[in-house]
Amino acid sequence: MSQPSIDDLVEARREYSAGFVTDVEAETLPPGLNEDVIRYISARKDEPRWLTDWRLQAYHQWQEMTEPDWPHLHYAKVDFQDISYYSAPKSQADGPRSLDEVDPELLRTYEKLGIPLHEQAALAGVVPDPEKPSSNVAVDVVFDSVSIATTFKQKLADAGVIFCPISEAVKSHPELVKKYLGSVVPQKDNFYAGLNSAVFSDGSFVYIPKGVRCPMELSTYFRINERNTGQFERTLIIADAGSHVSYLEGCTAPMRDENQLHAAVVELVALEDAEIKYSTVQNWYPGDENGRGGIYNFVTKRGVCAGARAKISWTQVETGSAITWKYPSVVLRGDDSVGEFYSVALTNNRQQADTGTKMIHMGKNTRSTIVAKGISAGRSDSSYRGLVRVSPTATHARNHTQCDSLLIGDLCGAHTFPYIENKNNTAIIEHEASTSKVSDDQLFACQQRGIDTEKAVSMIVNGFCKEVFRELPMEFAVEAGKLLEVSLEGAVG
Amino acid sequence: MSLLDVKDLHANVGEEDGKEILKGLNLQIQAGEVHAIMGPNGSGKSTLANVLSGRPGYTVTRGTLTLDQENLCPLEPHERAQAGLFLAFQYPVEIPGVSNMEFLKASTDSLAKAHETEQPDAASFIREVRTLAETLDLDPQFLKRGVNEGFSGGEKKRNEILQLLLINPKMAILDETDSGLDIDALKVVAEGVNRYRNAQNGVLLITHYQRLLDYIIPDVVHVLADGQIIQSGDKNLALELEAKGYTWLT
Amino acid sequence: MADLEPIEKFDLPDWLNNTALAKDAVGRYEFALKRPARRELWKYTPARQIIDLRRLPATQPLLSGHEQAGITVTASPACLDLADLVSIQRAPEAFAQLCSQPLLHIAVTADLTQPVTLHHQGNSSPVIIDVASGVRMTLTEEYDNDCDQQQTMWLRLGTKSEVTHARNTFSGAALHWQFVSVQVQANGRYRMHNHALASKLRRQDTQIQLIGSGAHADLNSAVMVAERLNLDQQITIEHASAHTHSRQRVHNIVADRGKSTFNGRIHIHEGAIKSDAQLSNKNLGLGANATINTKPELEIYTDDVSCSHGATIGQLDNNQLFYLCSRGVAPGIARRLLCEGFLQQCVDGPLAEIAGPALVAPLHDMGMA
Repeated sequence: MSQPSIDDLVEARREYSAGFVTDVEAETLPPGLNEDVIRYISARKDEPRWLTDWRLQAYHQWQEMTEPDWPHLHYAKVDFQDISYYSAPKSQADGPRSLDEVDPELLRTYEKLGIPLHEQAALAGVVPDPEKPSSNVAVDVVFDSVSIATTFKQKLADAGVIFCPISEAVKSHPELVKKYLGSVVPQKDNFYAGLNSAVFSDGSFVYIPKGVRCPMELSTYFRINERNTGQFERTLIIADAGSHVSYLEGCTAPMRDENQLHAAVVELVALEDAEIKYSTVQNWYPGDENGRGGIYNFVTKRGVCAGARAKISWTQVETGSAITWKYPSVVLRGDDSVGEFYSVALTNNRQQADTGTKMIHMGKNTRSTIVAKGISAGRSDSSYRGLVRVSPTATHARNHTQCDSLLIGDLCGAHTFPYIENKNNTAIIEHEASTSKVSDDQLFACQQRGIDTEKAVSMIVNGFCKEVFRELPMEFAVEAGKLLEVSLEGAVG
Repeated sequence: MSLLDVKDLHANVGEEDGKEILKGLNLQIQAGEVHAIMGPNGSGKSTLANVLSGRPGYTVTRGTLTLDQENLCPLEPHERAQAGLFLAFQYPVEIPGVSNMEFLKASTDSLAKAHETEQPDAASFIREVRTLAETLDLDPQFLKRGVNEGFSGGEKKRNEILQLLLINPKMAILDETDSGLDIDALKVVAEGVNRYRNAQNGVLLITHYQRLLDYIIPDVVHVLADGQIIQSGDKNLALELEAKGYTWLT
Repeated sequence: MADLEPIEKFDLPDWLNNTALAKDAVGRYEFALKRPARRELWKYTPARQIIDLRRLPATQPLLSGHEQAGITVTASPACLDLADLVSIQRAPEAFAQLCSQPLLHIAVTADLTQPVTLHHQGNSSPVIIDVASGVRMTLTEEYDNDCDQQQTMWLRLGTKSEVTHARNTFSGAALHWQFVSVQVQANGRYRMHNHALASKLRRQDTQIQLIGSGAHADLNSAVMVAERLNLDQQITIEHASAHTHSRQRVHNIVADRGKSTFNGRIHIHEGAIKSDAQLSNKNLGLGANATINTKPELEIYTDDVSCSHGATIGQLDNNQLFYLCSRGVAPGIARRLLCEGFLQQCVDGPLAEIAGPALVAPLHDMGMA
């Protein structure tokens, strides 16, 4: 895809573009977490008994766990009893059947956010606007814990693709949910996954049947609205043998003074010859220039290449959050399976990011590719933490890792902690990392041709990230470029 | 009896079920002769060099291959070298950490052992290598460096010829030795090969361009196309090919 | 975590009292033991056995080359100011050694023509070496005994001084801990040549601080880990000043169920502009499944620097093997030549000649005659 030109890039603005609040009635639980809260959540969603028990089991196990203690992140401890675990806008009590039934206030919100829901609206029954080309993205919108509108249901239904909120899938396809929920990220996996398993609110469920190539890109937008509501999405994507799906995740949040918690779990299952491509352009509120406010983003994302020749790719552009802690991972169980991780993590002001990936090689002839680009500016701190593990059974495993850091200014930090644990002598593993800065020569060359410093830095950073942006679906690539610009404002003085 | 005798050679890349590249190749080189094989890209020239030298990754499915009446097919690469076969590589590999001197010594010692001849003493060996290096325009300092480490393309090819002269095999196969060389380097290489050739040994030049053959005059020129030799002639055949191109024949 | 707890308390020695180092030393020591970063340092190696080595009685290493002009050797010095050299936080176990064993202090004040050699008789008492400004010297270490042992050493290099430090660790000691901490002042140069075989459990901790502008560190390490043996190398280089340089080349051969752990941490402090740090770790796996752990780390707090690291795990190159075979060399010999060559790239310094053959000796047992 082509890079956005200088003209296309958004002019840097002082205000965070998504910093506003929607005035909609919401039903919110008082803060606190105990068994009753969990039963309440389960009852509100009308869940079957097995799922309520599953949640409670997770909750009891979570109580035995301790929060992880990473040497590189510094943040005020989260008081888990001081958060409300459920918030649903009231007008969703019965669920919309079409966009017409969606609260117009909400629709206006999404328009402000710039997501293409209205483009889908044209196909969903609203009078089409001849000037707007139809988009091929089906959007399942999550608004403060409840999925709002799922469009394109018909086209997907024709292909046999199931794309719906997980709360719905629990009732319509219980056998699939039961089989795969927690199979990739077990309840006991880590502290945040444990919490999520107990209180997860909603999220996407996707099932692609055998041999089907999903006819469009699937997408979900998140939003955190109310004060002190942690966001606990749960996503489960299953690609059956020979199928193919590309999924986009993008998020945004309003300005808040208190830190808000986001502890999602994403599970991907790719069976034989299947391919899942999962892309994230993340735009959580990062905190003001003094590091106040902002989202705590502790996410567990993992995919299993369960069958031979399966392939899972994670592509992410992370620019938001006050604190980011996420390691999208791939377990390469099937022979000849492939895992990929392409990431750009940008931190500015006082953000902190500790992110990376884990590639676990178990089958034979497995391959993994990691390209991680970190950009640090201001007083921020960005760490890549990765693990490449080759088990004794993983003959002829291949890994190539490239980590590059770009530092802007002399007060930020960029770190690389790659763990390589190899137990099979036929493996070939190559890891390279390098650090650089925006060079004075590069800047001067741009300036001499009339480009101002901030634009020049943008261009150089975009070039630095090219390899990763290339992997993003078209819709996201442009957004990614704009995001970097906005996030870098004020970084070069 | 031919020095190198190839009859109805069929070879696949990979295993038995791999793609067949050589499809019944016949070639007889008598002692004292220089043969040239030319052909378009994809004709099987590299495969021929690799199969003759016993490189892993190919399977011979039919045919015979003998050197001085010794059957080469069951022999491992080092055994074929001990039997008198030498391959000058198109892309000589670099081996940092193993010095050129160590490498040459290991080779000559192994060959001497196989032939049950005496290994030369260190001093005379070094002298011999240095002398050869000078005739090939290689700075003798290279002997201390890793094999082919820091060498330009031309220097790598000259190192191959140094090994040819040092080892003095029965049969030399030169795999596109002229590729990437300028005229001066080409002349040095050709001079080395001409010094090597005599009435007892044989040379097989695998080449894409006719230019090398101006300096190393071949006795026979063959055209390889699609895994077989489709035409043979004297050195004028090469000149015709140069003028008319490969499509003239195929 | 219990595995990492110290075995007993210790009292502060006399020479330490009234120095800046003594201030709340025990408290800082206990705090250092609990840091998560310390847990990381012992992630792949059972710590208990190494820490228990402290129980063994220590003897002073024998010295040779110490009778040259310009060297002063003091056993159990009455007082020593080590506040700027010793960091309890970075090396709590080594600090405990300092407190519980008699010290050997070596001060070098003039260029030396002969190397100084420490002949370790087993468990050695801690050695502190002060190299004055502008002085050049060579230091070598030898291990005369095969018993379980540990050695701790602290080196202080004055401005513009140059130290070449070489050690061949080929002894069969089952448990072995080698700790070296080096501090380099402005324009000083420290070169380390580390050649080692693994043992049942051998741990090498190397900490280098480049604290003056223009300081330079060069580290070459060639290690052979043979059948079921274990070697854990933890190397940290701190660039605490501008215009500092470091180069590390670490080549390990790990064979037949051997285990190798390498952690190469480069830390560029805020303000250490125009620093240049390069690290290359290559691991060659041979034979039955070995365990190779490698973690090259970069921690960088300023932008105007040049840093890179690379780590690879692989096998012998088939093209190189074929090249040798095509010249008549039998496959077994060819493999041995390539293994030797791989390690040879990191063999250098005053002990290089003995090191070469000793490092590859285990290959003979592996059938690479």
